[in-house]
Amino acid sequence: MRIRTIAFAVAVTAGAFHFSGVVSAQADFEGIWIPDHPPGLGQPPLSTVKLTPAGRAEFERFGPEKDPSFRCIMPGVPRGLADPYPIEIVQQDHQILMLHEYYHQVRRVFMDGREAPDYWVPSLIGYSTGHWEGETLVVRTTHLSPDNYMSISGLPFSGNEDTYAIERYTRSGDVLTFTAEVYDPTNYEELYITTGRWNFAPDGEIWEYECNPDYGEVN
Amino acid sequence: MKHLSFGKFPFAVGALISLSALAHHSPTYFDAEVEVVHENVTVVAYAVANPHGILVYVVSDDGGTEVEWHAELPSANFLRRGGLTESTFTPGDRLAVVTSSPGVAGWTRPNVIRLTRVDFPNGDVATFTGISASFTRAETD
Repeated sequence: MRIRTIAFAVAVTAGAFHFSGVVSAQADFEGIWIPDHPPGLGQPPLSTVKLTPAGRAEFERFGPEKDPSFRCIMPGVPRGLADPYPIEIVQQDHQILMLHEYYHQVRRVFMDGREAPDYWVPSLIGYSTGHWEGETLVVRTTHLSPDNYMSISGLPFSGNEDTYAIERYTRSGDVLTFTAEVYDPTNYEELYITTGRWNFAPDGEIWEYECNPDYGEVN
Repeated sequence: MKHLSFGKFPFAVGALISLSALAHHSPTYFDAEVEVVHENVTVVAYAVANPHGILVYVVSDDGGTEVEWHAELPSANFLRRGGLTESTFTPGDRLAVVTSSPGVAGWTRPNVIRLTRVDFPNGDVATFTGISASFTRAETD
């Protein structure tokens, strides 16, 4: 029994050292969370966003005919980093799952040290890896799709090889907050920063979200 | 907020023209600063759906011509969480007062609005705030 205990302790310690090189305790995010995001889903005011000339030109071209939400296309990353629907977080040894009610969006954050494989095709969800810094979950997402936007307001997102997002999640009591930094130098002169907040809801529910584009048109 | 009550046939043309010039650079589908009120409307169609529900109704203009309006509602999930169901509205129903925000020219089709409140003839009230919905039964003795 003692040998098993020691072996387990060594394994846990090795896992804790894996990324940061320091002992880090992971936090418990497991469960259902109800959004309590800042106004505008935590997006910065448009007046404060510093677009490059290319980004501004792209933003000017946005119109209702391009809005993916009317065509039932899931928001992914970065557009859907925060949405107004509940999410469920499932923590496993090798991954953390973020299950969104909105568009049934599933995000897998790999926690076992793997890196995105070369063959990975860019997608709306991208490829997410994570590690713990103390009790903060840090998620890096790459391989993002150019067929997306930074926000529901139509701010552009290039989705080229230079783009990525870094999210930091922290729990305080029954409140989970995150800050995301999205790097897209094609369209923005500086990091695009968004925030979000959820309240723990042990009795919360994740509902079906069937989407019919026939009911999406307003233009 | 501007409150525009045109009796049977409202539309805030002046307000929309000035707003549409700004809207081109700021995606805004509905003008929350303008309130449109229709009275004595008749439901044509209703759907509890995602990405958003819809209520279609007609109302007579000052000349007696029936005009059709397409009202955007919150998503099915938020309608249901707010207590609205597939049977909340039925084609042919008469609604006492329908309050909404008008669509912004260039961003929505003509006669597309977003509901903010429905007053039923029996005193029931449905309210819509942003993405959420709420249904309140009339108090009975």
